[in-house]
Amino acid sequence: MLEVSGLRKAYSGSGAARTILDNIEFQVPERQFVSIIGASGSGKSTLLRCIAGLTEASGGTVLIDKRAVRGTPEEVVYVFQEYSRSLFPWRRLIRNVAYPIEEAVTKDEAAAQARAYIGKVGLAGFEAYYPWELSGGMQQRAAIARALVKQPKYLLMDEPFGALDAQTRNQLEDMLLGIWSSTALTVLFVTHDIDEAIYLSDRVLVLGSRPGRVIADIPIDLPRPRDQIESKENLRFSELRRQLFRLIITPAVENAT
Amino acid sequence: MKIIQRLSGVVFLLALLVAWETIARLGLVTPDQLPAPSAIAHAMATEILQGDLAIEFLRTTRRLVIGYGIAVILGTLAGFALGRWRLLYAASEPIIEFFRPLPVIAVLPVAVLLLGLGDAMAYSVIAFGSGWVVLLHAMDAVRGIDPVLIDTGRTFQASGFRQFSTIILPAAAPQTFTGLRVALGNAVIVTVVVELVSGFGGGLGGYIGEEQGALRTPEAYAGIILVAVLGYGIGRLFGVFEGSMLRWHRQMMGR
Repeated sequence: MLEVSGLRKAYSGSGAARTILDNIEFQVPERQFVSIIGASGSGKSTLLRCIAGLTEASGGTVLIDKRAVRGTPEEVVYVFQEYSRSLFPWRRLIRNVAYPIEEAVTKDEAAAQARAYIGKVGLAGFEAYYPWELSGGMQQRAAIARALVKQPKYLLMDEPFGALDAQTRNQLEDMLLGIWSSTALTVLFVTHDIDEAIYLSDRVLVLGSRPGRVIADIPIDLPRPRDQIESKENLRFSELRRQLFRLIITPAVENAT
Repeated sequence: MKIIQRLSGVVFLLALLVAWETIARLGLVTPDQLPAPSAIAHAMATEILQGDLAIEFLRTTRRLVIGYGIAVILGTLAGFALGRWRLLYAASEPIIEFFRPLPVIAVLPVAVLLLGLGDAMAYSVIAFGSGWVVLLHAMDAVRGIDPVLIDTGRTFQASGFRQFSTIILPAAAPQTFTGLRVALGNAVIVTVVVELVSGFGGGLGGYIGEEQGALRTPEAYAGIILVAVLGYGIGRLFGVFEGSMLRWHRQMMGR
Protein backbone atom coordinates (compact mmCIF):
# COMPACT_ATOMS: atom_id res chain seq x y z
CA MET A 1 0.00 0.00 0.00
CA LEU A 2 1.33 3.41 -1.02
CA GLU A 3 0.30 6.31 1.16
CA VAL A 4 1.06 9.91 0.26
CA SER A 5 0.24 12.39 2.95
CA GLY A 6 0.63 16.13 3.12
CA LEU A 7 3.24 16.09 0.36
CA ARG A 8 4.66 19.49 -0.46
CA LYS A 9 7.28 20.69 -2.86
CA ALA A 10 8.41 24.28 -3.06
CA TYR A 11 11.32 25.94 -4.76
CA SER A 12 12.82 29.10 -3.35
CA GLY A 13 14.74 30.50 -6.25
CA SER A 14 15.42 34.09 -7.33
CA GLY A 15 13.03 35.99 -5.14
CA ALA A 16 9.53 34.57 -5.06
CA ALA A 17 9.05 31.09 -3.70
CA ARG A 18 7.14 28.73 -5.97
CA THR A 19 4.98 26.00 -4.54
CA ILE A 20 4.74 23.22 -7.07
CA LEU A 21 2.84 20.74 -4.92
CA ASP A 22 0.69 21.56 -1.96
CA ASN A 23 -0.75 19.05 0.49
CA ILE A 24 -1.01 16.05 -1.81
CA GLU A 25 -2.95 13.28 -0.15
CA PHE A 26 -3.93 9.89 -1.55
CA GLN A 27 -3.55 6.13 -1.06
CA VAL A 28 -2.96 3.46 -3.62
CA PRO A 29 -3.81 -0.13 -2.72
CA GLU A 30 -1.61 -2.85 -4.15
CA ARG A 31 -2.06 -3.94 -7.75
CA GLN A 32 -4.04 -0.87 -8.67
CA PHE A 33 -3.36 0.98 -11.90
CA VAL A 34 -3.60 4.69 -11.19
CA SER A 35 -3.14 7.47 -13.69
CA ILE A 36 -2.28 10.99 -12.72
CA ILE A 37 -3.38 13.71 -15.09
CA GLY A 38 -3.35 17.46 -14.94
CA ALA A 39 -2.68 20.53 -16.97
CA SER A 40 0.88 21.24 -18.03
CA GLY A 41 2.92 22.51 -15.16
CA SER A 42 0.67 21.00 -12.53
CA GLY A 43 3.59 19.20 -10.97
CA LYS A 44 2.73 15.67 -12.11
CA SER A 45 6.34 14.77 -12.80
CA THR A 46 7.50 16.40 -9.60
CA LEU A 47 4.96 14.37 -7.65
CA LEU A 48 6.16 11.15 -9.24
CA ARG A 49 9.80 12.00 -8.63
CA CYS A 50 9.09 12.75 -4.97
CA ILE A 51 7.43 9.37 -4.54
CA ALA A 52 10.34 7.68 -6.30
CA GLY A 53 12.81 9.49 -4.11
CA LEU A 54 14.52 11.21 -7.02
CA THR A 55 13.42 14.64 -5.83
CA GLU A 56 13.32 15.55 -2.18
CA ALA A 57 9.95 16.78 -1.00
CA SER A 58 9.74 19.95 1.06
CA GLY A 59 7.26 18.39 3.44
CA GLY A 60 4.84 15.53 4.01
CA THR A 61 5.43 11.81 3.90
CA VAL A 62 5.37 8.91 1.51
CA LEU A 63 4.77 5.53 3.12
CA ILE A 64 5.26 2.24 1.35
CA ASP A 65 3.83 -0.66 3.35
CA LYS A 66 3.84 1.61 6.38
CA ARG A 67 7.54 2.43 6.05
CA ALA A 68 8.64 5.95 5.23
CA VAL A 69 10.39 6.35 1.91
CA ARG A 70 13.98 7.49 2.21
CA GLY A 71 16.10 7.90 -0.88
CA THR A 72 15.19 5.60 -3.74
CA PRO A 73 13.47 2.53 -2.30
CA GLU A 74 14.10 -0.95 -3.66
CA GLU A 75 10.47 -1.69 -4.39
CA VAL A 76 10.01 1.35 -6.59
CA VAL A 77 11.29 1.84 -10.12
CA TYR A 78 10.88 5.04 -12.09
CA VAL A 79 10.54 4.90 -15.87
CA PHE A 80 11.63 8.05 -17.61
CA GLN A 81 9.87 9.98 -20.30
CA GLU A 82 13.20 10.44 -22.09
CA TYR A 83 13.75 6.77 -22.79
CA SER A 84 16.51 7.29 -25.33
CA ARG A 85 18.54 9.20 -22.76
CA SER A 86 18.02 6.76 -19.94
CA LEU A 87 19.36 3.68 -21.68
CA PHE A 88 23.14 3.32 -21.54
CA PRO A 89 24.56 3.78 -25.06
CA TRP A 90 27.72 1.87 -24.18
CA ARG A 91 25.83 -1.32 -23.37
CA ARG A 92 23.95 -3.62 -25.65
CA LEU A 93 20.28 -4.24 -24.97
CA ILE A 94 20.74 -7.35 -22.88
CA ARG A 95 23.29 -5.70 -20.62
CA ASN A 96 21.10 -2.63 -20.30
CA VAL A 97 18.16 -4.73 -19.20
CA ALA A 98 20.36 -6.75 -16.84
CA TYR A 99 21.72 -3.64 -15.13
CA PRO A 100 19.37 -3.55 -12.11
CA ILE A 101 20.11 -7.14 -11.08
CA GLU A 102 23.66 -7.78 -12.25
CA GLU A 103 25.12 -7.06 -8.83
CA ALA A 104 22.71 -9.35 -7.05
CA VAL A 105 22.93 -12.50 -9.15
CA THR A 106 25.47 -14.35 -11.26
CA LYS A 107 26.28 -13.19 -14.77
CA ASP A 108 24.45 -16.08 -16.38
CA GLU A 109 21.41 -15.66 -14.19
CA ALA A 110 21.27 -11.94 -14.95
CA ALA A 111 21.48 -12.61 -18.67
CA ALA A 112 18.77 -15.26 -18.48
CA GLN A 113 16.37 -13.00 -16.60
CA ALA A 114 17.14 -10.10 -18.91
CA ARG A 115 16.37 -12.33 -21.86
CA ALA A 116 13.06 -13.33 -20.32
CA TYR A 117 11.90 -9.75 -19.89
CA ILE A 118 13.21 -8.73 -23.27
CA GLY A 119 10.89 -11.40 -24.60
CA LYS A 120 8.00 -10.15 -22.48
CA VAL A 121 8.17 -6.69 -24.01
CA GLY A 122 8.38 -8.08 -27.51
CA LEU A 123 12.06 -7.43 -28.21
CA ALA A 124 13.22 -11.03 -28.55
CA GLY A 125 16.07 -11.24 -31.02
CA PHE A 126 17.38 -7.76 -30.33
CA GLU A 127 19.53 -8.64 -27.33
CA ALA A 128 22.77 -7.73 -29.08
CA TYR A 129 21.61 -4.37 -30.36
CA TYR A 130 22.80 -1.07 -29.01
CA PRO A 131 20.05 1.30 -27.82
CA TRP A 132 20.70 3.76 -30.61
CA GLU A 133 20.09 1.02 -33.13
CA LEU A 134 16.52 0.67 -31.90
CA SER A 135 13.46 2.72 -32.75
CA GLY A 136 11.80 4.98 -30.19
CA GLY A 137 9.10 2.48 -29.36
CA MET A 138 11.65 -0.29 -28.97
CA GLN A 139 13.77 1.86 -26.71
CA GLN A 140 10.85 2.48 -24.42
CA ARG A 141 10.07 -1.24 -24.38
CA ALA A 142 13.69 -1.79 -23.42
CA ALA A 143 13.43 0.73 -20.60
CA ILE A 144 10.30 -1.01 -19.34
CA ALA A 145 11.95 -4.41 -19.53
CA ARG A 146 14.85 -3.05 -17.52
CA ALA A 147 12.44 -1.66 -14.92
CA LEU A 148 10.60 -4.96 -14.67
CA VAL A 149 13.64 -7.20 -14.38
CA LYS A 150 14.01 -5.96 -10.86
CA GLN A 151 10.48 -7.20 -10.12
CA PRO A 152 9.49 -4.03 -8.33
CA LYS A 153 6.23 -3.63 -6.46
CA TYR A 154 5.64 -0.13 -7.73
CA LEU A 155 6.21 1.09 -11.25
CA LEU A 156 6.25 4.85 -11.61
CA MET A 157 5.97 5.99 -15.20
CA ASP A 158 6.38 9.58 -16.29
CA GLU A 159 4.57 10.13 -19.60
CA PRO A 160 6.38 7.10 -21.00
CA PHE A 161 4.52 7.04 -24.31
CA GLY A 162 4.23 10.79 -24.83
CA ALA A 163 6.93 11.02 -27.47
CA LEU A 164 5.71 8.10 -29.55
CA ASP A 165 3.37 7.95 -32.50
CA ALA A 166 -0.24 6.96 -31.89
CA GLN A 167 0.06 3.41 -33.23
CA THR A 168 3.14 2.62 -31.19
CA ARG A 169 1.50 4.19 -28.20
CA ASN A 170 -1.52 1.89 -28.50
CA GLN A 171 0.72 -1.15 -28.84
CA LEU A 172 2.72 -0.24 -25.78
CA GLU A 173 -0.42 0.55 -23.77
CA ASP A 174 -1.72 -2.94 -24.44
CA MET A 175 1.68 -4.47 -23.72
CA LEU A 176 1.79 -2.65 -20.40
CA LEU A 177 -1.70 -3.77 -19.47
CA GLY A 178 -0.79 -7.34 -20.34
CA ILE A 179 2.25 -7.27 -18.11
CA TRP A 180 0.42 -5.51 -15.30
CA SER A 181 -2.45 -7.95 -15.27
CA SER A 182 -0.10 -10.95 -15.03
CA THR A 183 2.07 -9.60 -12.22
CA ALA A 184 1.63 -8.07 -8.77
CA LEU A 185 2.60 -4.61 -9.98
CA THR A 186 1.14 -1.38 -8.74
CA VAL A 187 1.41 1.30 -11.40
CA LEU A 188 1.41 5.07 -11.10
CA PHE A 189 1.17 6.47 -14.58
CA VAL A 190 1.55 10.16 -15.32
CA THR A 191 0.13 11.30 -18.64
CA HIS A 192 -1.28 14.35 -20.32
CA ASP A 193 -3.41 12.16 -22.53
CA ILE A 194 -6.88 11.82 -20.98
CA ASP A 195 -7.90 8.98 -23.25
CA GLU A 196 -4.82 7.05 -22.32
CA ALA A 197 -5.46 7.62 -18.64
CA ILE A 198 -9.01 6.30 -18.89
CA TYR A 199 -8.04 3.38 -21.09
CA LEU A 200 -5.33 2.08 -18.80
CA SER A 201 -6.49 2.79 -15.29
CA ASP A 202 -8.61 1.63 -12.42
CA ARG A 203 -8.59 5.16 -11.15
CA VAL A 204 -7.55 8.62 -12.28
CA LEU A 205 -6.19 11.33 -10.01
CA VAL A 206 -6.54 14.84 -11.33
CA LEU A 207 -3.97 17.41 -10.31
CA GLY A 208 -4.89 21.05 -10.33
CA SER A 209 -2.17 23.53 -11.02
CA ARG A 210 -0.48 26.39 -9.27
CA PRO A 211 -0.08 24.91 -6.80
CA GLY A 212 -0.63 21.24 -7.58
CA ARG A 213 -3.35 19.60 -5.51
CA VAL A 214 -5.49 16.55 -6.00
CA ILE A 215 -8.75 18.06 -7.19
CA ALA A 216 -10.47 14.85 -8.21
CA ASP A 217 -10.17 11.11 -7.69
CA ILE A 218 -12.23 9.33 -10.33
CA PRO A 219 -12.76 5.57 -10.37
CA ILE A 220 -12.78 4.10 -13.86
CA ASP A 221 -15.58 1.58 -13.95
CA LEU A 222 -14.89 0.17 -17.38
CA PRO A 223 -14.73 -3.61 -17.79
CA ARG A 224 -11.40 -5.39 -18.12
CA PRO A 225 -9.66 -6.55 -20.16
CA ARG A 226 -9.61 -3.28 -22.03
CA ASP A 227 -9.65 -3.14 -25.78
CA GLN A 228 -8.57 -0.26 -27.99
CA ILE A 229 -11.81 -0.39 -29.94
CA GLU A 230 -14.38 -1.89 -27.61
CA SER A 231 -13.50 0.11 -24.54
CA LYS A 232 -13.42 3.36 -26.42
CA GLU A 233 -16.81 2.74 -27.98
CA ASN A 234 -18.27 2.23 -24.54
CA LEU A 235 -20.61 5.08 -23.59
CA ARG A 236 -19.10 5.21 -20.16
CA PHE A 237 -15.74 6.01 -21.75
CA SER A 238 -17.21 9.16 -23.29
CA GLU A 239 -18.81 10.20 -20.03
CA LEU A 240 -15.57 9.81 -18.14
CA ARG A 241 -13.78 11.63 -20.88
CA ARG A 242 -16.12 14.59 -20.66
CA GLN A 243 -15.82 14.65 -16.89
CA LEU A 244 -12.06 14.62 -16.91
CA PHE A 245 -11.73 17.12 -19.72
CA ARG A 246 -13.89 19.57 -17.78
CA LEU A 247 -11.71 19.14 -14.74
CA ILE A 248 -8.54 19.89 -16.64
CA ILE A 249 -9.71 22.70 -18.85
CA THR A 250 -11.57 24.58 -16.14
CA PRO A 251 -9.04 26.36 -13.99
CA ALA A 252 -9.17 24.73 -10.60
CA VAL A 253 -8.89 27.92 -8.62
CA GLU A 254 -11.95 27.14 -6.55
CA ASN A 255 -9.94 24.76 -4.36
CA ALA A 256 -10.47 25.70 -0.77
CA THR A 257 -7.25 26.39 1.08
CA MET B 1 38.24 4.82 -55.25
CA LYS B 2 39.55 4.12 -51.80
CA ILE B 3 42.83 2.69 -53.07
CA ILE B 4 43.56 5.81 -55.07
CA GLN B 5 42.83 7.91 -51.99
CA ARG B 6 45.22 5.94 -49.85
CA LEU B 7 47.96 5.83 -52.46
CA SER B 8 47.68 9.54 -53.14
CA GLY B 9 49.23 10.33 -49.76
CA VAL B 10 52.22 8.10 -50.42
CA VAL B 11 52.61 9.36 -53.97
CA PHE B 12 52.50 12.97 -52.87
CA LEU B 13 55.09 12.33 -50.20
CA LEU B 14 57.39 10.63 -52.67
CA ALA B 15 56.97 13.49 -55.09
CA LEU B 16 57.95 15.95 -52.38
CA LEU B 17 61.02 13.92 -51.52
CA VAL B 18 62.08 13.77 -55.13
CA ALA B 19 61.61 17.51 -55.49
CA TRP B 20 63.56 18.10 -52.32
CA GLU B 21 66.42 15.86 -53.45
CA THR B 22 66.52 17.63 -56.80
CA ILE B 23 66.59 21.07 -55.25
CA ALA B 24 69.43 20.04 -52.97
CA ARG B 25 71.48 18.44 -55.72
CA LEU B 26 71.05 21.39 -58.00
CA GLY B 27 72.67 23.48 -55.32
CA LEU B 28 69.70 25.77 -54.90
CA VAL B 29 70.18 25.44 -51.18
CA THR B 30 73.37 24.85 -49.29
CA PRO B 31 73.85 21.62 -47.35
CA ASP B 32 73.97 23.62 -44.17
CA GLN B 33 70.51 25.04 -44.79
CA LEU B 34 68.69 22.07 -46.18
CA PRO B 35 70.52 18.81 -46.70
CA ALA B 36 69.30 16.40 -49.32
CA PRO B 37 67.04 13.57 -48.14
CA SER B 38 69.71 11.13 -49.20
CA ALA B 39 72.22 12.83 -46.96
CA ILE B 40 69.83 12.78 -44.06
CA ALA B 41 69.03 9.14 -44.61
CA HIS B 42 72.72 8.34 -44.68
CA ALA B 43 73.34 10.29 -41.49
CA MET B 44 70.42 8.58 -39.78
CA ALA B 45 71.62 5.13 -40.75
CA THR B 46 75.15 5.86 -39.57
CA GLU B 47 74.03 7.37 -36.30
CA ILE B 48 71.65 4.52 -35.52
CA LEU B 49 73.99 1.72 -36.46
CA GLN B 50 77.27 3.18 -35.25
CA GLY B 51 76.14 5.91 -32.89
CA ASP B 52 73.76 6.43 -30.02
CA LEU B 53 70.73 7.71 -31.90
CA ALA B 54 68.69 4.62 -31.15
CA ILE B 55 69.46 4.97 -27.45
CA GLU B 56 68.44 8.62 -27.50
CA PHE B 57 65.22 7.67 -29.23
CA LEU B 58 64.41 5.19 -26.49
CA ARG B 59 65.40 7.67 -23.83
CA THR B 60 62.99 10.25 -25.17
CA THR B 61 60.30 7.61 -25.48
CA ARG B 62 60.75 6.61 -21.86
CA ARG B 63 60.51 10.20 -20.65
CA LEU B 64 57.47 10.81 -22.81
CA VAL B 65 55.64 7.73 -21.62
CA ILE B 66 56.30 8.32 -17.94
CA GLY B 67 55.65 12.07 -18.02
CA TYR B 68 52.49 11.57 -20.05
CA GLY B 69 51.43 8.71 -17.81
CA ILE B 70 51.64 10.99 -14.79
CA ALA B 71 49.63 13.64 -16.64
CA VAL B 72 46.95 11.09 -17.51
CA ILE B 73 46.57 9.70 -14.01
CA LEU B 74 46.63 13.00 -12.16
CA GLY B 75 44.68 14.83 -14.83
CA THR B 76 41.80 12.37 -15.04
CA LEU B 77 41.54 11.90 -11.28
CA ALA B 78 41.58 15.63 -10.64
CA GLY B 79 39.31 16.31 -13.59
CA PHE B 80 36.71 13.80 -12.44
CA ALA B 81 36.82 15.16 -8.92
CA LEU B 82 36.40 18.73 -10.07
CA GLY B 83 33.60 17.75 -12.40
CA ARG B 84 31.78 15.86 -9.69
CA TRP B 85 32.10 18.34 -6.82
CA ARG B 86 31.21 21.92 -7.60
CA LEU B 87 32.78 23.26 -4.45
CA LEU B 88 36.10 21.70 -5.31
CA TYR B 89 36.04 23.32 -8.70
CA ALA B 90 35.11 26.72 -7.29
CA ALA B 91 38.01 26.49 -4.89
CA SER B 92 40.53 25.40 -7.53
CA GLU B 93 39.43 27.56 -10.41
CA PRO B 94 41.75 30.51 -9.82
CA ILE B 95 44.74 28.19 -9.52
CA ILE B 96 43.86 26.32 -12.67
CA GLU B 97 43.29 29.47 -14.67
CA PHE B 98 46.64 30.78 -13.48
CA PHE B 99 48.77 27.77 -14.26
CA ARG B 100 47.03 26.43 -17.32
CA PRO B 101 48.13 29.06 -19.87
CA LEU B 102 51.73 29.10 -18.70
CA PRO B 103 54.10 28.12 -21.49
CA VAL B 104 56.36 25.26 -20.56
CA ILE B 105 59.46 27.27 -21.41
CA ALA B 106 58.54 29.74 -18.69
CA VAL B 107 58.12 26.95 -16.17
CA LEU B 108 61.35 25.19 -17.04
CA PRO B 109 63.81 27.37 -15.07
CA VAL B 110 61.65 27.04 -11.95
CA ALA B 111 61.48 23.31 -12.39
CA VAL B 112 65.24 23.12 -12.74
CA LEU B 113 65.70 25.16 -9.60
CA LEU B 114 63.33 22.94 -7.66
CA LEU B 115 64.24 19.57 -9.05
CA GLY B 116 67.61 19.96 -10.63
CA LEU B 117 68.64 18.63 -13.99
CA GLY B 118 67.41 15.11 -14.22
CA ASP B 119 64.63 12.77 -15.12
CA ALA B 120 62.49 13.86 -12.18
CA MET B 121 62.46 17.36 -13.57
CA ALA B 122 61.72 16.10 -17.05
CA TYR B 123 58.76 14.00 -15.89
CA SER B 124 57.35 16.89 -13.89
CA VAL B 125 57.60 19.40 -16.69
CA ILE B 126 56.10 16.99 -19.22
CA ALA B 127 53.26 16.21 -16.85
CA PHE B 128 52.71 19.91 -16.18
CA GLY B 129 52.76 20.73 -19.86
CA SER B 130 50.23 18.10 -20.89
CA GLY B 131 48.16 17.50 -17.75
CA TRP B 132 45.94 20.56 -17.86
CA VAL B 133 44.29 19.56 -21.11
CA VAL B 134 43.49 16.16 -19.62
CA LEU B 135 42.05 17.75 -16.50
CA LEU B 136 39.85 20.20 -18.34
CA HIS B 137 38.44 17.61 -20.72
CA ALA B 138 37.80 15.09 -17.95
CA MET B 139 36.11 17.74 -15.87
CA ASP B 140 33.89 18.91 -18.71
CA ALA B 141 33.07 15.33 -19.53
CA VAL B 142 31.80 14.61 -16.03
CA ARG B 143 29.97 17.92 -15.81
CA GLY B 144 28.22 17.27 -19.07
CA ILE B 145 26.84 13.85 -18.20
CA ASP B 146 23.12 13.64 -18.85
CA PRO B 147 21.27 13.86 -15.52
CA VAL B 148 18.81 11.26 -16.79
CA LEU B 149 21.67 8.74 -16.75
CA ILE B 150 22.49 9.62 -13.17
CA ASP B 151 18.82 9.41 -12.17
CA THR B 152 18.63 6.03 -13.85
CA GLY B 153 21.42 4.84 -11.62
CA ARG B 154 19.63 6.28 -8.61
CA THR B 155 16.31 4.60 -9.31
CA PHE B 156 18.23 1.32 -9.37
CA GLN B 157 19.93 2.11 -6.07
CA ALA B 158 23.41 2.39 -7.54
CA SER B 159 25.91 3.15 -4.79
CA GLY B 160 28.48 5.92 -5.24
CA PHE B 161 31.11 3.52 -6.50
CA ARG B 162 28.73 1.66 -8.79
CA GLN B 163 27.53 4.94 -10.22
CA PHE B 164 31.11 5.91 -10.92
CA SER B 165 32.22 2.68 -12.52
CA THR B 166 29.07 1.85 -14.48
CA ILE B 167 27.75 5.26 -15.43
CA ILE B 168 30.12 8.18 -14.93
CA LEU B 169 33.22 6.51 -16.31
CA PRO B 170 31.74 5.25 -19.59
CA ALA B 171 29.66 8.39 -20.08
CA ALA B 172 32.69 10.63 -19.60
CA ALA B 173 35.03 8.43 -21.62
CA PRO B 174 34.63 9.90 -25.13
CA GLN B 175 35.34 13.47 -24.14
CA THR B 176 38.07 12.45 -21.74
CA PHE B 177 39.80 10.51 -24.48
CA THR B 178 39.77 13.60 -26.65
CA GLY B 179 41.68 15.34 -23.91
CA LEU B 180 44.10 12.43 -23.68
CA ARG B 181 44.72 12.55 -27.39
CA VAL B 182 45.45 16.28 -27.47
CA ALA B 183 47.61 15.96 -24.38
CA LEU B 184 49.71 13.27 -26.06
CA GLY B 185 50.59 15.62 -28.87
CA ASN B 186 51.53 18.28 -26.33
CA ALA B 187 53.60 15.80 -24.37
CA VAL B 188 55.75 14.91 -27.36
CA ILE B 189 56.50 18.56 -27.97
CA VAL B 190 57.22 19.31 -24.33
CA THR B 191 59.51 16.30 -23.99
CA VAL B 192 61.68 17.38 -26.88
CA VAL B 193 61.67 21.01 -25.75
CA VAL B 194 62.76 20.09 -22.25
CA GLU B 195 65.59 18.00 -23.61
CA LEU B 196 66.65 20.64 -26.10
CA VAL B 197 66.53 23.64 -23.80
CA SER B 198 67.92 22.14 -20.65
CA GLY B 199 70.47 20.21 -22.64
CA PHE B 200 71.30 17.94 -19.75
CA GLY B 201 70.63 14.41 -20.63
CA GLY B 202 70.43 13.60 -24.27
CA GLY B 203 67.30 12.16 -25.66
CA LEU B 204 66.30 13.27 -29.13
CA GLY B 205 66.00 16.88 -28.01
CA GLY B 206 69.48 16.87 -26.56
CA TYR B 207 70.80 15.14 -29.66
CA ILE B 208 69.25 17.69 -31.99
CA GLY B 209 70.66 20.54 -29.96
CA GLU B 210 74.13 19.01 -29.95
CA GLU B 211 74.20 18.28 -33.65
CA GLN B 212 72.89 21.73 -34.51
CA GLY B 213 75.52 23.31 -32.32
CA ALA B 214 78.23 21.34 -34.06
CA LEU B 215 76.77 22.32 -37.45
CA ARG B 216 76.17 18.70 -38.36
CA THR B 217 72.97 19.55 -40.14
CA PRO B 218 72.07 16.18 -41.69
CA GLU B 219 72.39 14.57 -38.27
CA ALA B 220 70.23 17.25 -36.69
CA TYR B 221 67.57 16.70 -39.33
CA ALA B 222 67.76 12.99 -38.69
CA GLY B 223 66.95 13.70 -35.07
CA ILE B 224 64.02 15.90 -36.02
CA ILE B 225 62.61 13.25 -38.31
CA LEU B 226 62.84 10.68 -35.56
CA VAL B 227 60.85 13.00 -33.31
CA ALA B 228 58.17 13.03 -35.97
CA VAL B 229 58.34 9.25 -36.22
CA LEU B 230 57.95 8.96 -32.46
CA GLY B 231 54.99 11.31 -32.42
CA TYR B 232 53.33 9.53 -35.30
CA GLY B 233 53.97 6.04 -33.95
CA ILE B 234 52.74 6.74 -30.47
CA GLY B 235 49.76 8.59 -31.88
CA ARG B 236 48.79 5.55 -33.91
CA LEU B 237 49.15 3.27 -30.90
CA PHE B 238 46.94 5.59 -28.92
CA GLY B 239 44.41 5.58 -31.73
CA VAL B 240 44.19 1.81 -31.65
CA PHE B 241 43.73 1.84 -27.89
CA GLU B 242 41.11 4.57 -28.03
CA GLY B 243 39.31 2.72 -30.79
CA SER B 244 39.02 -0.43 -28.76
CA MET B 245 37.82 1.44 -25.68
CA LEU B 246 35.29 3.55 -27.53
CA ARG B 247 34.01 1.14 -30.12
CA TRP B 248 30.43 1.79 -29.04
CA HIS B 249 30.88 5.49 -29.43
CA ARG B 250 32.41 5.25 -32.87
CA GLN B 251 29.59 3.07 -34.08
CA MET B 252 27.05 5.39 -32.58
CA MET B 253 28.60 8.37 -34.34
CA GLY B 254 28.55 6.43 -37.56
CA ARG B 255 32.27 6.01 -37.98
